[in-house]
Amino acid sequence: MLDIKIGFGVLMFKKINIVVVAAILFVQAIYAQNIDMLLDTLAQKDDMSMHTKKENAGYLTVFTRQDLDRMKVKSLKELIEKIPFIRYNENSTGLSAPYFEPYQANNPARIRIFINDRELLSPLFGGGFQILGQIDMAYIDHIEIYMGVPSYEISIEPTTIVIKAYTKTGKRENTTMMGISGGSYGTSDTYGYTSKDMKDFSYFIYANHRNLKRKKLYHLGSILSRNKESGDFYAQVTMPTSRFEFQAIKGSMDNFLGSSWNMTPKNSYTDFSYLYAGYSYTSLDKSTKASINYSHLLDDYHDSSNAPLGVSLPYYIPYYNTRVKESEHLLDTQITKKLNFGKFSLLLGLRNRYKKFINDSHTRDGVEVPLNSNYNSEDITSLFSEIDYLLDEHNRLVFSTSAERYFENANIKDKTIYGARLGHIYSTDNFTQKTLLFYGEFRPTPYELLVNDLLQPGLDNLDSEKAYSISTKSIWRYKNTTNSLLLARTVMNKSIYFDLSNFKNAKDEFAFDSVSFKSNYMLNDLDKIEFNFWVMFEDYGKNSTDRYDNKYGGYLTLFKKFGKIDTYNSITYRDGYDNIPPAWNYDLTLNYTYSRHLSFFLKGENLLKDAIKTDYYRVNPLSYQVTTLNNTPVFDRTVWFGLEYEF
Amino acid sequence: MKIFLLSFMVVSSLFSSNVKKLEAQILSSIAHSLVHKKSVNICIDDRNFKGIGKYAKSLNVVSCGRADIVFTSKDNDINKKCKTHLIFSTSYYLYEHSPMIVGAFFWQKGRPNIIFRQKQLKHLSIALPKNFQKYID
Repeated sequence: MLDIKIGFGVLMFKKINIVVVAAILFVQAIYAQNIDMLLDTLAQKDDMSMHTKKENAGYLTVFTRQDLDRMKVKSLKELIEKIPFIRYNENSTGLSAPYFEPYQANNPARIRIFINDRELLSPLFGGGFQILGQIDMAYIDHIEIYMGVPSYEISIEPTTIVIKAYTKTGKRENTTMMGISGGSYGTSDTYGYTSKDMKDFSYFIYANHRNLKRKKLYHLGSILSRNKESGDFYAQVTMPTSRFEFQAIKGSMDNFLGSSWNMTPKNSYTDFSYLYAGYSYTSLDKSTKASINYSHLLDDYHDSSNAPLGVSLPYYIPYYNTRVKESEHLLDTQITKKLNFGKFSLLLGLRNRYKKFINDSHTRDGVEVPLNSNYNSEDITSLFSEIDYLLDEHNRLVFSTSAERYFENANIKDKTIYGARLGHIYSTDNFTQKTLLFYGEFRPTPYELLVNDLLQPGLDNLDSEKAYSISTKSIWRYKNTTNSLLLARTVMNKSIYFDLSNFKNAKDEFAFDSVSFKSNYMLNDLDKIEFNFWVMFEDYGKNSTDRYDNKYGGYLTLFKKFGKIDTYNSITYRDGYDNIPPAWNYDLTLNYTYSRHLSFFLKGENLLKDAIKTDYYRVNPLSYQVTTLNNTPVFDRTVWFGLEYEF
Repeated sequence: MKIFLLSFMVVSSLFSSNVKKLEAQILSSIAHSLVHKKSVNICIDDRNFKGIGKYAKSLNVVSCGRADIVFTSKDNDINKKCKTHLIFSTSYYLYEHSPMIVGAFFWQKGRPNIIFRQKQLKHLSIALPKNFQKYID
């Protein structure tokens, strides 16, 4: 009897053991099956943007590392099409300039670009987008786009759109990579980086060579080329509270239309170089930040044509060759301190930005032309504050003010401009409402001030543009869907324009009413569909001959992974631009992961060949004869093929 | 029931936005792939993973001496004290410089990654589940 009992006990023990072992194996199997998905999900949820983005600082759109990798973004210009209310455009030298209008100056106040926390800009001409629009992006981790007059934590000088590109870091890369790709028209792109998270610091070192060949156009017997060749080196060393950065870009680009009266360049190109060194400090609790950044930009513009490029005053003698060398320096220092008092926080900041722009040489037909202006520097001291008050668990108020003193030299008078911004944010788990009121002034760029000083020495009557804006955005989330609706009204006073004699302030008020709807549907943790449609109603004032204008745009994108193949499909729409037909830009990217170390991609841009176009024109200043170049594509139909190898 | 709860926990965590929960699930997966026990005792010596134990019910966070596996980012005393234990690094640098370490959980190429050292797995006679084998270095 006892034997039977013992035997039964042993049997039971064995059964229990089998059940326990089976249970353990089952648990292991579940963990094993899900580990890939867990890592994929963590990559999304703990993307670096989660640590850098500032939800309360404006209306935010983020392109995560995963997005950029899946899109295989080759240059920043591709992302412009995803921003509501603007279109991608290129100026007459073939540089990226979304707000380009013939003869009008580039307006940096509209769109500012930062790499990490450093603003990329040309001290003389303004906007950094021209510098970065078509160069390599392989060292960028993710991009945040802030709209609706972002907070001073994002940009001190007033602006409507801020693009913040954050570089990859040693801590998150820990690898050595190489990428090679080739594209239509003979384009080639090669990059490599090495990075590591060491014991007490991390480093990231990157180099790129890009030979960007664009489709050539033919006009009145001249070849119009937008080819660009550049080499880019970037290095970063990061410690717990410090970051050192260095960047050097050197290249040469064809000047597309050049500056001849009838757009017939013969030999027109620009050699350029950009050097940057910077240090930034962030305390461990992130309450104190300080940075010092220095950059140097050198342009050497060469142009020649069989048609005149211009006339030398006072005898109106035409010239056919010109060379202009400009060097620009920018020294930026900034310190901010955030004080927290429970529900109330106060950000105080002080910044100094010193700009120096020197005309090293200006020749016409080989003869040095003296510049009739000594204006060559601008020093801006900015003081700003931001109060953030948490009214209750759902409501937050943000109030910001700024004062900027512009110390000019030579004939240009010093000016002080002011700005203010009031924001209210209501948020629950599934709903967020952001409302912003803004008043700000946009100081003319040194280029605009310099041109006016050259044309009318000592007059200095160009005033700051003034802007008022009210906007609200509702965001609601339901299961896997996030929808948002943005409504905005902006009124501009004293807008600056060029009337072929000098820069002037417009007498009329311009008003823009904008609506944008966006929907994001997550198919699973990785795959998603995004849809956006926007419309902008423009009123150029009662004195305008073409007072009202409406513009439309949007996009539909699909990110979808099929086993080892990752796909990105996107179609972008733009309409309502003067004389430009409705535009559809279809992009497709296929990524194939062959192994852990090797992957391939195939990327097509503007595959329908129907992306947005632009019109160019030139006026002969003597005869007033107009030469046009209409419906010029700013996106070529391009196919890229490449591979990435991880060592 | 426990198995059901565990599997439910794993699946439900995939929809969670909580990074800590996801990290806890990953550490849990690693621990269970190396230690064939229902409830694994772990020791964590990395401040980035502080308090992670409360998100992983199948892990017990214990002191180094009682741990089945140690997760560490530091090449300090803990490695010496716990040298008889299974050590898994949360730093790639440490993994590269300490051959005794069986594997690492770290960020690489902008995404989280896991790596196991084949030599050390053999030395410790550990057979990984099939789906983990692609992470063997």
